[in-house]
Amino acid sequence: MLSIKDLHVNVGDKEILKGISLEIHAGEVHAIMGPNGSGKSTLSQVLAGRDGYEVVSGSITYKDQDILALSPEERAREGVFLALQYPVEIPGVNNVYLLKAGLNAIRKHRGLSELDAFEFLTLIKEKMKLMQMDESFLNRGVNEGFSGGEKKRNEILQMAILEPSLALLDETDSGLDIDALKIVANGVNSLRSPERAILMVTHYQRLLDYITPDYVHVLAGGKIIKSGDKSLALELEKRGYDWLTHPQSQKGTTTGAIGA
Amino acid sequence: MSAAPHSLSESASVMRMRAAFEQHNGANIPLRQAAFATFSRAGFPTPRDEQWKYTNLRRLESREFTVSHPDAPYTSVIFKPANVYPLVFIDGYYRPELSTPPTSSAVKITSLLSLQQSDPQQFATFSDIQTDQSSSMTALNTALMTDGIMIEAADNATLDQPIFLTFLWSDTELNLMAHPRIVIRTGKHAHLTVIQHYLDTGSTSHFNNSVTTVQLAAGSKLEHCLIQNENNHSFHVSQIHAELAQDSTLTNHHFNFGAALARTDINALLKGPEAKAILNGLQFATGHQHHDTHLQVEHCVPHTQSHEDYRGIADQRGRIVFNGKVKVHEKAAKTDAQQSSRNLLLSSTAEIDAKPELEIYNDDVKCAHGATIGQLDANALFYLRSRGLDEQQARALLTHAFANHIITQVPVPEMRQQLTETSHVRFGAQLEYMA
Repeated sequence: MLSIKDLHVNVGDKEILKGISLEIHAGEVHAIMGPNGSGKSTLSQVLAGRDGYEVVSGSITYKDQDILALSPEERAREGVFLALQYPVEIPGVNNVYLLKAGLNAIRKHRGLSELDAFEFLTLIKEKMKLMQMDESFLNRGVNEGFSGGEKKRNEILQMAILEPSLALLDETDSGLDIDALKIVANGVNSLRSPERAILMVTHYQRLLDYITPDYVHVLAGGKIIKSGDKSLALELEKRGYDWLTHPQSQKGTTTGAIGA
Repeated sequence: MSAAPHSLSESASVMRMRAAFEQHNGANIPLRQAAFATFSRAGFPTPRDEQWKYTNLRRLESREFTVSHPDAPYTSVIFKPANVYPLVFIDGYYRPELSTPPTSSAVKITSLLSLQQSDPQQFATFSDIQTDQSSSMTALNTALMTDGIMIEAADNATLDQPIFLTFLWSDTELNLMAHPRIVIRTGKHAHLTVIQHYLDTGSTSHFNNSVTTVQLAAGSKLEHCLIQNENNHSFHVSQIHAELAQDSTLTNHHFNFGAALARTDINALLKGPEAKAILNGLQFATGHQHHDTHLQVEHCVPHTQSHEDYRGIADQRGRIVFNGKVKVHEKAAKTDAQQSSRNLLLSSTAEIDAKPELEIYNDDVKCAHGATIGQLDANALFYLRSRGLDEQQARALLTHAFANHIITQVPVPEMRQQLTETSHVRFGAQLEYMA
């Protein structure tokens, strides 16, 4: 479904991604882990089509198309969805309005009929139950005055409604307490399907206790330095990132500990 | 030397107005003669006048406008929201046969033109409040006044529905001018809602010059909307002069959508303690439109409040001017004056001039003002597009959200819906209405 080949990305003069290659197939859940500043968020933003990132070389192919030639809205209509780390507050734009306009744009693109107000309300109420969201949400501005947890739940609600083929979750677990994390994970798990691929970007292993990945990749210094299955995440949890990024200093610390 | 000394110094545009005045059916009324003399001495305002620094009436002055006549045929459907008392003006003349005034005896509606005919003495007093003799546009309105309406609410009067004044143009090829006058007087503790709506769906260039005077007695409240949606070839000048007695509140919701050039002056004198003026407004200029609003609030006595919340949006080659003057007189301790002017510049060829102006002669006051000019939030734009909305739709949605902050404060639901639709049309967006 998604094929990234030797991707180099600059922000300004600075090279952030230094040759990423990654294959994701339908039905798979991939987790990208890595220390702060490793380029995790850059990767998800580039996939969603945000301005300000310069692709210097390499390619991203999604469903046999060059995704880099598409605008953010064209990618969304083709089934790419990015759950943002910091969802934007947009006072004056109603939550329901945004979701209905988005869903109908996507449906229209796919040759499906647009949902009317009643059909849409039925759909959104069902999905809100899944995300345990209060109905008062319907009449509020997009993320306006939402707590951190509510914003993240809203992202997954949007994902449940827009039903993407490729879901990108950028630090979806950050700022969540354990109860909110369970709700969000439950929402994501309910969306796992053989037709859908999910790419999670996270700093901590904690999210992966609830959403089990098929593959785990470690991104550091703009490169994927190790890939494995979910056991790699557990190892990272135990040993941190240092043993991969600075194998020598890690060894030194261990020796020192023995020496003491 | 000519026998008519005025003609020597008069500009062509003033002479055209003099010709119109001399044909006018009020030309022999002293009040109007004095007003025309005032106008002819001052002429049209020019950018040399600080208050008109950014707005040049040259384009207006270079055109010839015909004085409108009563009883012009009008066949189009008249827009009016549900649940209002519609009072219809065609070409500046009140048309009782198209109107449904309130039946309550506590609120009296009088046509000024009929008053001029039936009771010239009382007619001469209609402009009691009009103190701003220096305004040549007010003087021009008094001289050439086509018609007008006087709304007088008795003490404690309330109405179950808003009064909806709608100003329309007849279907004509002529470039008409109209100078309507609105007089609103509330008795003590009366509550009124008045909507003043200017609408032109045609494409002939007209000139509207209207003056509204408002006198609020103690404890009374007026919710007032001034909605300007003339066609983009027209010129629109309107003024509101308001005087507020103790404990009275004026809330004005002002919208500048249409016209090639629109200039609005809203002047409020807070003359009694606890008087309060709330002035909200939205100006949206696109194409080559020019919208200028000047507010002037004077806090004359202690314990008065003013609250100004204005937004401007300029797109393409549109031009927005906002000038908010607050004057706190020496005696006016405990004044609370808040002013906010937020503006959105949507293109590199648009221009916005926003200027707060505070003149404070008392130390014991709370005055704050803020003016910002910015662009659409890039993060919000990306967010909407990443959910499938195309760029134009996303821009329109964010622009509308910015405007909606002012629209949602309008107290009449049907009017809010109309304003939302107008703003969507003006933003060129296919957005559905959401309450």
